[in-house]
Amino acid sequence: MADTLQPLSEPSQSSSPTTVPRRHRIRWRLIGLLIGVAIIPLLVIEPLTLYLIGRQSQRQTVNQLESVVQLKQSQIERWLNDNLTALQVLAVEPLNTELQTLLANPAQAAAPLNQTFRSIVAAQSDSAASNLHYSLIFFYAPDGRILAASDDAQIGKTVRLQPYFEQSLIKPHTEPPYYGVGTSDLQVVVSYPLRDASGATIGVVAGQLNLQVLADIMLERSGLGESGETYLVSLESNYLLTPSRFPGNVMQQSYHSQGIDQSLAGQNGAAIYADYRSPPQQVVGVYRWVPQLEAGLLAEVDVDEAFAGSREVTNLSLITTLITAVLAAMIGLYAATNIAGPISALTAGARRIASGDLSVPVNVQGHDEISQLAHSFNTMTEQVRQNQSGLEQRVSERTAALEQTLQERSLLLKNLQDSTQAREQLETIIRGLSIPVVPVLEGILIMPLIGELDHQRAAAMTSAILAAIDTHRARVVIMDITGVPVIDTHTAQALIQTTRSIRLLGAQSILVGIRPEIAETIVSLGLHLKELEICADLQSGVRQAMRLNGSHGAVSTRSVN
Amino acid sequence: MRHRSIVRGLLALGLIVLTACGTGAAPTAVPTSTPLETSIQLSWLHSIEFAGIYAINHQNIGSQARMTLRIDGGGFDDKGQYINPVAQVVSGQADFGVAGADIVLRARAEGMPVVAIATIYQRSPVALISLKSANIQRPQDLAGKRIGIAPPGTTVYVSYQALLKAETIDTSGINEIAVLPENAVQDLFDNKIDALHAFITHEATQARAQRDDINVLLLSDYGIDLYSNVVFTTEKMIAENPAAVETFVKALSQGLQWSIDHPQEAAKQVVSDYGATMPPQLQALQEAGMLASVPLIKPAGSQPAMMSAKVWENTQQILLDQQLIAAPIDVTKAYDLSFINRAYGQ
Repeated sequence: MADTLQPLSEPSQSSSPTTVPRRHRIRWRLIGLLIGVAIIPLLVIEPLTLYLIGRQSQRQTVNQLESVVQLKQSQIERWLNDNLTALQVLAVEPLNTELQTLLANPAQAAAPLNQTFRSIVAAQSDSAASNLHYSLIFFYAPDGRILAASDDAQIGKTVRLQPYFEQSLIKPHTEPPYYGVGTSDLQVVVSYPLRDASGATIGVVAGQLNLQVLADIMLERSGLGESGETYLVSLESNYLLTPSRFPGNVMQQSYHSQGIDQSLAGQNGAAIYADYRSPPQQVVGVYRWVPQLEAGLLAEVDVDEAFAGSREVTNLSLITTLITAVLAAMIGLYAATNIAGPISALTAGARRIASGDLSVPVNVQGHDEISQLAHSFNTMTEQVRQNQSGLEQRVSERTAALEQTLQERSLLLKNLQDSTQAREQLETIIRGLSIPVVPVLEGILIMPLIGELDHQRAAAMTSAILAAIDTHRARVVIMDITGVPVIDTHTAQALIQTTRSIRLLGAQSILVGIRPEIAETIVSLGLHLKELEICADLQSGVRQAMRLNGSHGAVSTRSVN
Repeated sequence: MRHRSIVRGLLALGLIVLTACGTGAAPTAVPTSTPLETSIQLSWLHSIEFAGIYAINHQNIGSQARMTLRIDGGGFDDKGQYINPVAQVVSGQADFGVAGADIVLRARAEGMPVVAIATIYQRSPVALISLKSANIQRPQDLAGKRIGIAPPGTTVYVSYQALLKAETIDTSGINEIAVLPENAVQDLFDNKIDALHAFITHEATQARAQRDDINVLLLSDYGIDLYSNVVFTTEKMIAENPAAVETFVKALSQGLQWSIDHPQEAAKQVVSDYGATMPPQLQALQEAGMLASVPLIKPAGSQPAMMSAKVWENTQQILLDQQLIAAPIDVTKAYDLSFINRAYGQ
């Protein structure tokens, strides 16, 4: 690229037939190209970056929610397992032995079954190592009748209609949360069957869990931000098992969302979806199926909060991109100007050459290819200019020679014209002399004709004789054709026409001097000259004229023309 | 709100005098391919108990099934006579009716061709409510107490008698007192009675709304579990227009499911549609009544409107024990599970 290269003068735009429209100028095209090269990658990279940022942010949020869900699920499972284990510990060792004895020999029992049961349960509950944290513990016979309970009011009731009854007789069982008839409370019942030595079920010890623990686990919001929550939804009617942290969402209502429905379909996953609230809020949610509770465990955080960090990064990225784009545009403009400037200078030089101006070279600085091109251009221009100078000298010489030749030819032409004019004057004189009209007597004119009488001469003859008649007031004209070598049809017709014209002026004409060979020709041609007064010779013609004129005037010697 | 037990008492009386055994006009047979116009006679005044039936109309379940359902409220007619759902259905005044399972069995025992096809409550809502000060925590505590009773012959009274028998309660010291339904809860509060026959969805809710010291002795906790509001029709309707029955039962199951999915909305709808027929204090109790109804409509692991053969057998046994029917009947003809099974694709 030229370091600096500027035209010494800007060519006239209007004078050049090859002015380039602005949009087609290489400068603007280069600017567009360079800006495009700079911005297009940004346009491609920026959305990709934003997508990746969003995805990364979502992944981070999901990972965080996954951790929370994992923690909560572990807490739930540990809570259930601890309680089941505690119940198992209670049932297998102290309770089973005592109850078997009591049931086998109730009469020999030191205390009623219920009393024994409650004392054992109390002792177990007081144990430091015990996890026996049931709100109600009871023991029922295989027919469902409650025989002992930590609450006296429960004794005598039957659990035969309860959903856990049949399973509880078979194996240790945890009944998922359900709303019991007559209460407004959710219930989770853990049961453990007691068997005798033969393996027969002698009863079931069961405990009703305190679901506040479950609610506490779910309402613990560490790692969930301001808008996050975890909650459980039951497969039974899609009711909430733990309270919503958002007011207005009662537990006993069927709730649906993508996360809820997916988890209750037994699936685990994460997604962005509209949550259960009314109106729904977009949340990032992680959901899991918790089989022990037949419930969906969900951890959700509002999208606005989840993506707040990524939005800042996104905004920063957008600002950076914008600044980069502006800088790229400025650099592109500078670069394009540096490249296009020398080319424009060369273009202007070429345009000056095209208009014939070879006097101004392109100012060249630098050592790059364009500078070398400009040098070559100037060299070429100088060569053209020199060639043009020699050509102009030769043209001047040739032009001078041509001008001299032209002057000579003009002189010759003038001479020729003068000669032609003189000849024409001479011909006029000769023509006048060839048609003499002589007034021989008063009222009588003689016109001797000598030589061939062509059409032009006939017309001149007619004009001359008519003019003479008028001038001399002649009454008779004698046309002497003694000197006419030949009479043809045309000549005869001319004579007849002249005679008619004479007659129109009130004069008469007499033809004389018909030689024998002429007469013979007239006859052979069948010419009719009856309109003419014909005399044999001039004398007889004069006499006839005098007769016709009736006068004896003197013969004039003056020739009229 | 009138006491539900009155319904049962009057219904029992109605059954005695009913003479239109199967002689009523046949229900209109409507194939499912054409729009179905049908009707149901409720067992009592409009209340949240029938929210699943109302939902058929206001949730457009019926219209989607091309079914137009007329819902006739129960209670008393202009002459003060109880509107007996069995009589209404048998006489062709309605295609379907609502009544207790014991009422259906007794009607069949008397030759009326009624068949239960679904139930609203799958668990008995019948309870004995008392103030905690009365210390009635178990049936045995009823001995020597003053009990505000439902009229004999009603489902509540039959259940109560079944409880006494099952728990071998000495009834000699029990003082049964007839109470006016509109005063029953207040009588309890005023210590005029020690316990009161009640529905947990109605009187128990009403009492709990006013005081916290309420004991509820649920009869189903002691194995007394009668269907209190089965939906029934006639054998003729089933024979001649099974498609209509199936359409209705499916719509009913959907309506019941909607009501438990949206208990608050269901309660508001009932108040909106029928609040004018209720005392103001009861309007506010519809939501609590609906929430109490949820475990009755859909016990854990079940589907709305389902019935159990075992409950029907137990009910007949209770009736036999109380000599409300003279001899066993073919109880399997008293109910038809096929429609509700088909509604769930079984």
